[in-house]
Amino acid sequence: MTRRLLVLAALTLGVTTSVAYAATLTVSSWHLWAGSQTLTKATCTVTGAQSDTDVQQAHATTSFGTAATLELVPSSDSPKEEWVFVQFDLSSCAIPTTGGADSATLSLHLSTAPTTSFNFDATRVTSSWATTLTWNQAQTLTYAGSPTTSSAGGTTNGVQISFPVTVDVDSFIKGGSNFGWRISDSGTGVNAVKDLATFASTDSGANVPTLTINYEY
Amino acid sequence: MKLLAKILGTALAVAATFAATGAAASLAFTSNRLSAGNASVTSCGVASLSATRNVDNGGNVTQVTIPSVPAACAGETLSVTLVGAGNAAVGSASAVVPGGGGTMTLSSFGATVSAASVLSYSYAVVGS
Repeated sequence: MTRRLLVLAALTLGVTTSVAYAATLTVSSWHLWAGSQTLTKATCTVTGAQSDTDVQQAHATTSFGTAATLELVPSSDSPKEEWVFVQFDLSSCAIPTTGGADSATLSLHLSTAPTTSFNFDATRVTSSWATTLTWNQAQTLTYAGSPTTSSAGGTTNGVQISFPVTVDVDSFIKGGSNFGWRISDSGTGVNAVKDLATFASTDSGANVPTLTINYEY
Repeated sequence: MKLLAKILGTALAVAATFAATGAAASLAFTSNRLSAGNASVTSCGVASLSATRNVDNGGNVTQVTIPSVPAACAGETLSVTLVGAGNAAVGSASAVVPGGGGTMTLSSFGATVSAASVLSYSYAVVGS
């Protein structure tokens, strides 16, 4: 009995002493730094494209850069396929290159909808073009491997078609090359009479293309 | 038996004293040494950090890049917390600073984080 009590007393002392010792060891020799960075949020809308045009397979060497409309005909209508090109100058937004896009939306006014809905693909263009672009020249441009986004066209005239292009604009802000987008069909169009989508161009002066950017820096 | 009772009583009294000492040591760590800027808690040379982030096309943060992490922080842990409205954490990530420091890229924030919801970044560099 006596021995057991002595052992218990010794154990009690030992455990308690260890706890106290460990508590003082963990404090010393640590590095610690903490800080924060506040982000500023803003919105910029670019009204009117720097460059926009369409190219037409049936008129492979003709430029349509000054037309009031941007025509899109699906690939199933080959050899009458038509593509739209649009590019925006972001300099008026004065977004620091250390900033980034929270969201960005390209908006085109669908003046005349096709009789059968098909999807519109927005694909980032990765080489330079001008409003004098022709179908043949467009074949030599380079493009991102896959579309940034695809939006259903519908069959209703006079509506805005929105294309989320956040990832591309984020890249533009950070200094990536900005050659805009090609709008084409995603192979969903049918070969039908009037299977044509017509958008308002910047030259039309009304319902012009816009690019709205919500950004941070 | 009386002697044994005295020994046990003495042992318990000593144990209580050490326990009190231990508790005091714990208190000093959380309240005094850090807030008082004790010399044993120092920075590895960070003056400030500034991040940029990438997003996917849905506007969700895919990665946060922090340039210019001091080489002296190598081996220590850099943590970034994405802070939203009301100072609530909406995501966080951490990684060990590589040898030589430099630019660090963090991803996988524990949840899908909308870039629009992030109002600030909080940083911590911790190591020994």
